[in-house]
Amino acid sequence: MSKERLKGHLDMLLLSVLAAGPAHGYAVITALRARSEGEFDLPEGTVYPALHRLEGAGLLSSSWSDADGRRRRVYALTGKGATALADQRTAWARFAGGIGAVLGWQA
Amino acid sequence: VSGDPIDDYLDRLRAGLRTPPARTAEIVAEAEDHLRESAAVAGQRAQLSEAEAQRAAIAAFGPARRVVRAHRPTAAEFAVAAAMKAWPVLGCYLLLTSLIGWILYASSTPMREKPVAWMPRLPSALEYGGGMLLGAALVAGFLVVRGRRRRSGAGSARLPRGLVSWGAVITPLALGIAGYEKLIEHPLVQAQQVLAIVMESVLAGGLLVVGGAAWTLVCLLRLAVAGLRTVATARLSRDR
Repeated sequence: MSKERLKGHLDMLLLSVLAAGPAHGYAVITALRARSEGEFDLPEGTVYPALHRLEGAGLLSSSWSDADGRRRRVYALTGKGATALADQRTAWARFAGGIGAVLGWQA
Repeated sequence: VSGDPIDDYLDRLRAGLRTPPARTAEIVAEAEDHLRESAAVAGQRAQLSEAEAQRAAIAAFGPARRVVRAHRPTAAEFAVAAAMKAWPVLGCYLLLTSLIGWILYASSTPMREKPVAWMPRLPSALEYGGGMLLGAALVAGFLVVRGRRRRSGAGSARLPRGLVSWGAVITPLALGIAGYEKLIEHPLVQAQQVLAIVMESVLAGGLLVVGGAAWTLVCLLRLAVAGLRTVATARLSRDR
């Protein structure tokens, strides 16, 4: 998938991964790649600004802990983030349904 | 170059980021956690050497330049950084020019008189005093705001390289043009008045440079003391 096209949906995908539970950046990126079966393979370092932006918007919260002698930042979905994800899922389902109908896909 | 690919990568990342210091530290710490874990997983999975695993982790993370670009501060953060640079300079400049203007005014009788009937009168001692108060208030306000921002860990985004030096060139140029236009507007302005304005600015600029040099010297002395302490600590631990 085009990286530019993916960037437009990255926020929704990150919120969706974190809906499964709190995780640190590496785990989020690994889950994103695994759940997309390798289709979404962005440079890993460019995903962190999106996580920071979502935290700034109040959709995620983060806390620091120690892991193997290193500082680790763990992200979690907030209530506002869960609501935003539900809204984005609904909008995406409607959009994908419309595209599918035009392309002649069967549900 | 440390010999550890991840450390070298993190150094490049740290050097390129223009974010506030506290945020830079967080970004680098987060990147290090990611890269070390990614290298460990890659090493186990593909039976790579430590250096190879680190290089694979770095390749997947993306070039430092690209990651830096992704973390580029927003326009609002840049505006705050620019304001935090301009604020103390403006305060010091106003304080010093008012102080020097007041000294010149107090020591020169002709300057207190209105040279030409149609001309606006020269600033009075009261106006110079007002300028000094405003300058002092600006400097004090800056120190308070900077202290608060440091305590909250906010800091200011680092401006792009060259922006400050460009500002240092453009500001006097703009002031010069404005002064020149003023001269054209009032061709009968007495040389003494122009001289006083120029002297105020030159002396204030000189004092700012001397202040900057003194501060640099203090910073160098602090660095030297810190270096001596590190050497002494290393010797002590080696002797033990």
